[in-house]
Amino acid sequence: MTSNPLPPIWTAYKTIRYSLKMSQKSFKAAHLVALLNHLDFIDKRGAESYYTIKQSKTELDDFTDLIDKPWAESYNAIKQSQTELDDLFVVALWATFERFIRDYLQLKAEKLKSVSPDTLAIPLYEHFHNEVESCSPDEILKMLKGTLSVDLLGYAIEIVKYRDWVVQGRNQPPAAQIEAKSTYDTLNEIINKLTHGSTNRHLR
Amino acid sequence: MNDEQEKQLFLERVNQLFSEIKTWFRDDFKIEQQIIDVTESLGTYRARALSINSLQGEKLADIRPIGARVIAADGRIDIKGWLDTENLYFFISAPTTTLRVSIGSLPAGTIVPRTQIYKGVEVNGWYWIDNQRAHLLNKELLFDLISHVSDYDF
Repeated sequence: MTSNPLPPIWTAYKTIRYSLKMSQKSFKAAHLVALLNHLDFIDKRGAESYYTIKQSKTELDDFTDLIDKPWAESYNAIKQSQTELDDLFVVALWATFERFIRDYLQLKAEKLKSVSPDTLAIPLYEHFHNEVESCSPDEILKMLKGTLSVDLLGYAIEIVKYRDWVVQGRNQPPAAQIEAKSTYDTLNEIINKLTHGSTNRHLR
Repeated sequence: MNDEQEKQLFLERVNQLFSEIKTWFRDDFKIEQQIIDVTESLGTYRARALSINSLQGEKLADIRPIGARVIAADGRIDIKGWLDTENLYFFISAPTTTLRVSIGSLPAGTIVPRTQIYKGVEVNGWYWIDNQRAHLLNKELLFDLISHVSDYDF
C-alpha cells in the first residue's frame, strides 16, 4: 500500500464542515423570515387598539422567546459540533496515518524474506512484521528518524500527544493547539516525503 | 528560549498585528479591544483580543489569540464569526527551528533544520493557509476573511 490515504478523509472533513455552515445559514434565514412575518402581522393589527397592541407585545415576547431558543440552541449545537468535528478528524487522520506508516515499514521489510539462509528469512520477517504491528506510535516514529527531518517528526509526536489528549478526556491543556487543517497538512507532508523521496524506490 | 520568553514573544507578535489591524480598518469598522484569558501548555495568561463591528454596530468577528504552541508554526490567532472560523499562523522564514519534544537522543530545545511545510513563507509574519500555501496577511486578505466568517457583504 503506497498511495496516500489522507486526501479522502480531508475531503470528508471539508464536506461536513461545509454542510454545517449551510445548516447555520439556513437556520438563520428561517429565523429571520419567521420574525419578519410575525412583525408584519403585528404591524397590521397594531392600529386596532391599545389592547391589541399590548396583546401583540406579549405575543411577540413569547414568539421571540420561541424563535430565539431553537435558533440559539441550533447555533450553539453546530458551533460545538465544529469543535468536536475538528478533534474527531485529528483522531481519524492520525489513525489512518499510523496505519499507513505501519504498512510502509512492513512493506520495506519484505526484503528480509530474501535473506540467507531461507530458514531464517521468514521468522525474521514475521518477527519484524509483528513488532511493527504492536509497537507504540512513538516507536514507529523513531524508526523514521533517519528518513524524515527531525522537526517533522516532532510535529507528528505533538499530534500523537493531542490525539491522546482527546481520547483520554481533555483534562489538561494539550501540548500544542492543534486543529484538523494543520494536522492534515503535516501528516500529508510526511507521507509525501516518504512516498516521493528517495526511499520510495523499493515500493514501486 | 524559556516558557516565559516564548509567551512574551507571542504576545508581542499578537499586539503588533492588532496595532496594524486598528490602523488598516480605522475608517471601515468599529474595533473594540478586550482582555481575555488564553489557556495553553505555556499556562493561562492575559492577552488582548479584538472585536470587529460594522459601522452600523453589527458584530462581525472576534480576533483572538489561541496560543504560541501550535504545530509547524509559532503562534495562532483565530478569526471567529457567527458562521465560520479562520486561523492565522505566525511563520518564521529562518532555516532552523527548536524541537519542542525530545526525539530519541535529541532533547527538547535542540536547534534543528526547519522543514517549511507551506509554500510562500518569505518573511516572518502572520499568514493564512489555503491549499498548503501560506498567504501573508494584509488589509485586503483580512477584509475577505472577516467577510467569509461573518457572511457579511461589504
